[in-house]
Amino acid sequence: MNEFDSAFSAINKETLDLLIVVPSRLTSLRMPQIAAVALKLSMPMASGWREFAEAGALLSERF
Amino acid sequence: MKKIFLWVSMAVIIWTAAIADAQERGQSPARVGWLWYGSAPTGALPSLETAIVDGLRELGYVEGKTLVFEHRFADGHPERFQHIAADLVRQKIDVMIGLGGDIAAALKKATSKIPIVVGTSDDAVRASLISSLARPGGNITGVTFVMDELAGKRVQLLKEISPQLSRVGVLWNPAHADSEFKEIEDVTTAYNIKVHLSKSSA
Repeated sequence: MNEFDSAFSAINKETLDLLIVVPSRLTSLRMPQIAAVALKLSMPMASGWREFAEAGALLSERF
Repeated sequence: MKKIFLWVSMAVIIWTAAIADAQERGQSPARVGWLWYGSAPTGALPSLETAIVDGLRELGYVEGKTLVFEHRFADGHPERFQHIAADLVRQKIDVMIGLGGDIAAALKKATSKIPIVVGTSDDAVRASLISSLARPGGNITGVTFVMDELAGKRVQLLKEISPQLSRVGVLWNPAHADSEFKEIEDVTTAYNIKVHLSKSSA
């Protein structure tokens, strides 16, 4: 399990109402993976780039 | 929006001046060094990159004839930026492009002479890339998306949509140069929202 996976495994419906993903090239590259988990958990997700909304984020600015 | 527009205008002016200089020297194509965070795209270019290529085409530059891109890819390894930037400087590049605050910082460190055009999420003044938006100084110009300020606004908007919001998870890369987490934290503290932080730099 890498650093990303362990950071992500801490996310679950019992402890969180919502997930904010800080946009960066790293999180952008990992977006399909992040979106898949968030959708599976029905976890609302918000971020800052258009690519994130296209991948399934609830809210994003138009960049 | 006004300050963003001003900075964009400056970018276009410096950009075209730098390329025109290169062409006057001997009609050889202008060489544009471009440092990428990721790997070479396999399909269509992402939206920001497409805008740069389209913009240059609209200004009349023809790739391969009046302009050549020297693409360099860090393959997702930010620790390679400095080495790649230094290598580009040695390649007689006319203008350099970097999208991302971390790439911009590496290009700035590599040269104080070659014009650098950047797109960054963070406040370019706070990130020490330029001295002010009105007078950037140095050899860097470009566009900032003021994402830092929007990070706080985003939390405010989410709280308005869902007033019972009390537990927010934040996934971020602490190795990336931006102030978004601080902006998020300022707002969550004001609203008494609990933050669960997940950091990832790999």
